[in-house]
Amino acid sequence: MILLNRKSNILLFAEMTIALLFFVISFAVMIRVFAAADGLERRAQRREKAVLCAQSIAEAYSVSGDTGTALRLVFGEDIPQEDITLNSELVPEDNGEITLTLSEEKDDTAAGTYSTLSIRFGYSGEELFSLDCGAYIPRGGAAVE
Amino acid sequence: MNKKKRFFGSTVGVGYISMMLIFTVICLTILAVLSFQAVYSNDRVSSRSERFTQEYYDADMAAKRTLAQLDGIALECAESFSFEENFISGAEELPGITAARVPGGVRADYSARINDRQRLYVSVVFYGDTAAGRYEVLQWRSVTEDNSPDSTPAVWDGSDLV
Repeated sequence: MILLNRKSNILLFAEMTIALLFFVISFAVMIRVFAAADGLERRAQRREKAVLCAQSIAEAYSVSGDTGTALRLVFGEDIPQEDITLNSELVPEDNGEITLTLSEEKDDTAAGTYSTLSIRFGYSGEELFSLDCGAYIPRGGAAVE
Repeated sequence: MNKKKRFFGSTVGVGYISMMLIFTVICLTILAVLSFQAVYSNDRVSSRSERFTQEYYDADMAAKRTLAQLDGIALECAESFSFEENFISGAEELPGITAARVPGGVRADYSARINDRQRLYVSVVFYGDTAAGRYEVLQWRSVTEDNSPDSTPAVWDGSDLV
C-alpha cells in the first residue's frame, strides 16, 4: 500500500512538471501571437490616420495648388514645409514620432500651373503611407467650377 | 473514503491536472488565433483601402494633367477665328478625348483609369468667350465598369405553359 502511495506521488509530480513545462512553452507562444496582433493593430491605426491626413492634404492642395495653404487648411496653423514631425494623433509637434515629407513640382504654362505634390508619412525610418496628387490652377482668374 | 484517499495518495488524481491544462491552453490558443485573425483581416481591408486611395489620386492626377493640356489648347484657340472647330481638332489629337459642340462652347469628355473596374470620368465645357472663365467642369466622378455579361432573370414570359 505504501509502495502504491509513493508511486502515485511520483507520477503526480512528474505530471505536474511536464504540465508546467508545456504550459510555459504554450504561454510563451501565445504571448508572442498576442503581441504580434497588438503590433499589427497599432500599425494599421497609424496607417489609417496617415491615409486620412494625406487625403485631406491632397484635397486642400488640389483646391489651392500651394503646399503652404494646403498645410494651413489641414492643420489649422502655419507650419514649415520641411522636416515636419507629427505626434501619434497626427498633430504637428516638435520631435514627433511620425515624419511628413512633402515634395512639390510645378509646371507653368501660358494657360495655368499644373503641379504635383508627393506626400510621404514615415515612422521609425520606414514608410507608413505615400500619396501623389496633382492640382491645376488656371491663369487669369479661376475657372467656373 | 479514507481508504480510497490512502490508496491513491492524494485527492487530485493523476491526469486531472493535464486535462485542466490542456483545456486552458486550448482556450487561450483559440483566443490568440481569433484576435490575430481579426487584426489581420482589418489590416487587409486597410491595405485595400490604401491601394484604392493611391489609385484614385493617380487617376485624378492624370485627369488634371489632361485638363491642363486641354486648357492650353483652349487658350490658343481663343484668339482664333473659329474657336469651336480649332478646339475640337486640337483636343481630338490627345488620346481618349471626344469633343462635341454645345451652346457657347465645346464639351470635352475623357476618362482616366483608376483600376480594372473603375474609371474617373470627366466632362468639361470650354468656352470661346472667356469673360466668365475658360472652362466649366460638368462631371468629375468615378464610374464602375460592369464587365459582367447580361443576365436575364428566370421569370415566366407570359407564353403557354405547355
